[in-house]
Amino acid sequence: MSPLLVAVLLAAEAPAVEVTAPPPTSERLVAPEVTAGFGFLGSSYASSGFRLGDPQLAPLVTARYLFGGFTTDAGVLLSLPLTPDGVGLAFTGSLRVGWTWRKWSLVGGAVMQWASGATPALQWLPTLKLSADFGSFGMTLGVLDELALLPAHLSFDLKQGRRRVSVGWVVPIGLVAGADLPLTERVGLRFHAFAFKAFQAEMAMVTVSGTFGGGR
Amino acid sequence: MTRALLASCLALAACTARPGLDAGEPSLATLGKGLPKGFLMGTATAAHQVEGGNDNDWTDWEAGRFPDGTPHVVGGAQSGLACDSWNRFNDDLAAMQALGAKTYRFSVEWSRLEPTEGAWDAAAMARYREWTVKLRAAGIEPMVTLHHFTLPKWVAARKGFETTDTQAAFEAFARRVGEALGDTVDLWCPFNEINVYAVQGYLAGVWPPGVKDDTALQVTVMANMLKAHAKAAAALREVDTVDADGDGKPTVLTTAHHVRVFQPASHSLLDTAIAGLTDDVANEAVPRALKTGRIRFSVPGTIEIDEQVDGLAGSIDVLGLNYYTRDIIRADLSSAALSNMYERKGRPTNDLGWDLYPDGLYLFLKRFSSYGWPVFITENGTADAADAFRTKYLAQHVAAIELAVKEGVDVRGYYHWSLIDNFEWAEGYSARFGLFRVDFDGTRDRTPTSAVDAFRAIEANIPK
Repeated sequence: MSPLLVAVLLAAEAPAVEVTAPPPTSERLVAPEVTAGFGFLGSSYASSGFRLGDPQLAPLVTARYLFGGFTTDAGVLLSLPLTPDGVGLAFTGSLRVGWTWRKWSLVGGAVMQWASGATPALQWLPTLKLSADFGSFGMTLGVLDELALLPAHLSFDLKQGRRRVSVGWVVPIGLVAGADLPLTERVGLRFHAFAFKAFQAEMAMVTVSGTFGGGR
Repeated sequence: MTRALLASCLALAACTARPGLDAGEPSLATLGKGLPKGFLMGTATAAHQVEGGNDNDWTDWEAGRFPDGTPHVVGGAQSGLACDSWNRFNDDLAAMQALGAKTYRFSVEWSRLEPTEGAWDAAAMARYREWTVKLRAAGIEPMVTLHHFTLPKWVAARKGFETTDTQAAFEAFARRVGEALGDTVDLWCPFNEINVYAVQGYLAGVWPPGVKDDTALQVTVMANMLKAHAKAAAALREVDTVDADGDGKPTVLTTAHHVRVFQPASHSLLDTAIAGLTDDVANEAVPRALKTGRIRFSVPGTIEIDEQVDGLAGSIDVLGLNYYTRDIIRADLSSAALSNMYERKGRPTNDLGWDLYPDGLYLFLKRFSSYGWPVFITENGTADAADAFRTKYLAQHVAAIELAVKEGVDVRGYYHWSLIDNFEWAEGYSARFGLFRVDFDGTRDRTPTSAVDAFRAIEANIPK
């Protein structure tokens, strides 16, 4: 994400919205949140200029809730192939639990993927996310984060109220970036994108989601 | 970094063009007209599968059983007399002529020519020479394969291509065959399916020597076979200086490289990455090594081979592709292959359960055209005992070639697997790939299947 875009996003006035202080849970690093959106996902493998890949539509919903510091984090994603005869339809769900402090949050759990006609039909992976606040910026370390779509990433974000922009490195070669734009006190838009190459695999995704509640 | 990121972004819009060739059956009235002038249409066999009477590492294997008691070959079948092509070559030649075939790919049996180290069987060599002379007289261009899965017992006893020593023995064999047949043969194929040989023998453990799940040995064998290929190619070019067909090239070297579409089961990172890794080892590593001269195999956590080999770059003139099917790849980290491979449910399949997927041939022709070699389809065919879909299979795959040719790919020939039903390795006699049916229980006469007429029609349509 270019520095200019970061500056524009942070400087932009939210349209006729008074950005007020988050609810009491804001004493902790993250707050309860629900998001729902649509993604456009491309997955492929490539070798010597050859690429075998398929585009997919990917509606997704995520939710996070805090019971004091105890944090639960869940998500579902449906991958709908746009071309016949390529990858199969798949459903992915994740469930993570952990703890959130004022400056730190750690959640871990499992990602389950069901793929139509696959043997085995279910695939399980671990997932981990560590977030930290360093005052003027925040940092997130994720392993098989974002419904295991990302192998591993290290991201940094800048916040101003509920506005946020983030950019990060996806291991081994790739980028992840995002931005939150508040529309009302509790509703906003989230733009998110990543692209990476890991061994012969390439994956990229652009997502636009509506957010309710939240922060970070 | 920038290039990799751009490539990753392309994945977002990734949509591999699959022409959907399995949706129709091309008209035999016109099929073949889109192939280039001089395109060679023919058939292929392998010595151990058709000759009969061989005595090599496979004949030992056929007599054995797995630890659970099941025979190594379906039904306990043994190659035995096979199609008796050793004695009935004239019948095979007549079958080729009935097809209107213009080329024939067959292998010479190392164990027959050199049954013990350094002892060469002149009579056996003379028999092969008789064949190449007859083929050429019939207007059928011979392509000679030197290694098609079998080893003499004395080579197998020395661990075959697991060791580097076998390279010199194979080079000597290539030199001897080149000297004997060179004036009648221009098309040479030192190895058939290096990748399949290594996978079946050292990963799946279903072919000799029956080693299971040894990925390191599997890629070591592939590397040693590539080095042996380089030595054999150099020897053939040295001893075969006679241009038998008058095209100005006394030798045209190829390798029959088995390719298979590996389709990830889902978008998941694991499925995609393991399909890509499998594709790299199985499909890409061999042609890449033949182009660059550098053998590179990478199985993370198991083995890394990175070696520049003298004479490997430039050791083929034409790339041979053996194409049959595709597999769906679902990650399974508990397996040595890291995945389950299977056919997609609901797809048309052949008698062995292989997906009938002509788009794959088109995809590989487009893909490998980037290397700059002309291409032969050195094998393509299907197991169809009921003679129900071979004609359609043939037509759809020739249509795939025509489409690739139309889009600029330089394809020079097509070898249907196979001329006649034969001993199909671990499948025994249960899989019938022949354009001609062989009665293995009786006379071993060759009887045409319905695809013979289709083959003839296609060949007749090729611009002359």
